[in-house]
Amino acid sequence: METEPNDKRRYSALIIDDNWFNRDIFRIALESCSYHVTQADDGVKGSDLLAKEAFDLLILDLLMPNMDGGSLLKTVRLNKAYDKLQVVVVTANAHMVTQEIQELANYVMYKPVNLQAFAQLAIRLRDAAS
Amino acid sequence: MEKEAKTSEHYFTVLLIEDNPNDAELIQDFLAQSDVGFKVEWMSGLSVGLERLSQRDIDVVLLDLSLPDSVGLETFGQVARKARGVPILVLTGFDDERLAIQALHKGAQDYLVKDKIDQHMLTHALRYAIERKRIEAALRTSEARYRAIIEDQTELICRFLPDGTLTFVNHAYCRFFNETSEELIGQPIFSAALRHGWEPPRVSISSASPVATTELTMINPSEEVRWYRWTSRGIFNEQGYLSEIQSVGQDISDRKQAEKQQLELAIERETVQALRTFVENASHDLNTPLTIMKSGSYLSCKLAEQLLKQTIALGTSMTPAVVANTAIEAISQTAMKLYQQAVAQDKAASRLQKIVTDLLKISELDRNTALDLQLHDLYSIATTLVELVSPLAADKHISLELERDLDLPFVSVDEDKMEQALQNLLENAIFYTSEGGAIRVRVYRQDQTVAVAIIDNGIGIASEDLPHIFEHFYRVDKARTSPGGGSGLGLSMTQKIVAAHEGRIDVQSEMGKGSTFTIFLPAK
Repeated sequence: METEPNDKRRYSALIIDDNWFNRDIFRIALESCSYHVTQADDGVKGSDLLAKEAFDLLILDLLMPNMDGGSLLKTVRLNKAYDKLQVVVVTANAHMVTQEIQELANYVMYKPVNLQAFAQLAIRLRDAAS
Repeated sequence: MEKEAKTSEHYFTVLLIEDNPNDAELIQDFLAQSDVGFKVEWMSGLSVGLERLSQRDIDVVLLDLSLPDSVGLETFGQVARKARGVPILVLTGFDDERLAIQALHKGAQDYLVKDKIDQHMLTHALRYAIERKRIEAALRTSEARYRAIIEDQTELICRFLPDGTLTFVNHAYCRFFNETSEELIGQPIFSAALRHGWEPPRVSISSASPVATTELTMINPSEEVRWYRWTSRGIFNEQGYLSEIQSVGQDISDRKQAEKQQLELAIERETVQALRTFVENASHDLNTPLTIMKSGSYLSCKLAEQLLKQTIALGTSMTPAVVANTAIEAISQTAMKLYQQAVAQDKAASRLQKIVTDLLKISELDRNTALDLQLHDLYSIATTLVELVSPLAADKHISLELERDLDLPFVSVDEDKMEQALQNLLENAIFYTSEGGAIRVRVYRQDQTVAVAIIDNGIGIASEDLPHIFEHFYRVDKARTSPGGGSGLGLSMTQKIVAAHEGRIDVQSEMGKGSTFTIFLPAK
């Protein structure tokens, strides 16, 4: 069915977004690109999960309750432990994407997301990590 | 009667004002012979007579109208002003009867022509004058008393002629129609009444059944609709003809209101019973198709997800240039929408299934109140339930603590049902507690009961909602508009279960501070 690279280690992704449907769609897209997916519905829960587990990829929404995506991104980038973490900011609010966020994030995508482009990016990041 | 008493022990004091000593002597003689006890005090002029009269112990005055210091009607007028209710008989000469009649018009009780007086006539006239005055006074007192009673009534009281002309109204009646008695009396009863939206009672009164009652609504001066019960009594003259009708209107709005509430209550009970039967039948009928729908929607979700994954996998196997030149992105968009619809449907089906399941549980509780009672430790049941709901709590970072008294008696419960009751309370507590909140479950002994309290620091319940939270489908606004959550039946189910165990449930809540639900069960 799907391309499961059994010989390689599993790539893991964390999705932080307060909208369940967005999370679900990203999950499906990432799962079809062989990612193991974890989800959180706000910034606080997201940073808890980041502290507990190692992730290869972070899909991050900006506008959320309990710590917005921008602040979370800044904390993550200040911490050496997350050096290898790739961050894709996904937002519907272009005006929230400041110069700083542009520089701190690896990629910025705008909603509604082109799923095929999102999947292509996920594959590229996965292959770059291996 | 008093009259008899006076004969034996007392006497009537007669003040005789007469200038002619012969006439005075004659009269005194006559009265001395009378077997009625008369004590005569003779004054020979008006001024001394008036002076004596002002001492107030005179029963009757015999007044000669031609005195040296005053003459005729002027004499009578002066005496009458001083007399204050003491009857006055005037004495007049044979040629002066016209003057005597004028005195009668001015209030004299009677007149006697001097030359024609005999002992019997004099005695009779004096007695008659005294008695008549006394009866008049008694009547006046009793009428005044009657009027006071009638006037002070809060009931509306009126009298009217058979043609409807008002002859009497009391204060309450005037107040009700906001008109004075002068304005009302003499008017047809209908005119004021109709201005107040009241059609007066058409009562049928006859000498055989002189009383009739009727109940009707009237609009009072504050524009409120009030219920009045009118009791009308016909007053018949000696010939048996209806001469007047007295109607008494009593405000019976409170009683009517109570009757109305009782009726509404009865209707509500019937409605609830009908609804209960309908709900039970409907839930049974809905259950089977809903199960099919639910498994269908679940399968649709999985298939849509698979389709979406396959589409994405297909796209990722192509180069970006190829992707751009095919319809693959459009297909993934469609697959995504299909997935979204399937998920929404599946959630709705789950919600509906939860409602129907809870309705069936409630119907079952209503129908079959038999419990499978066993002795249990309420704490161990609470422990099981806390473990059951702990993933839900963890999801919202809510801490769950369990405490107990050391020495807890057993309770006699139907384990499955009590678990259900506690589960509903715990799920509610989690649902209405914000992220990072705390819920404590405390099992303790209180008097002859074992209590389990579920204490949250959630959003609380508004005091206006508190009386309704155990009603079927009652949900506070927030719960109704937010996704997920329960069926609106949890608390009413819990209450039924607790009641079946002869326990009670208590709730205390404060907006913004949290709620405490406590179940008390009799200790064994």
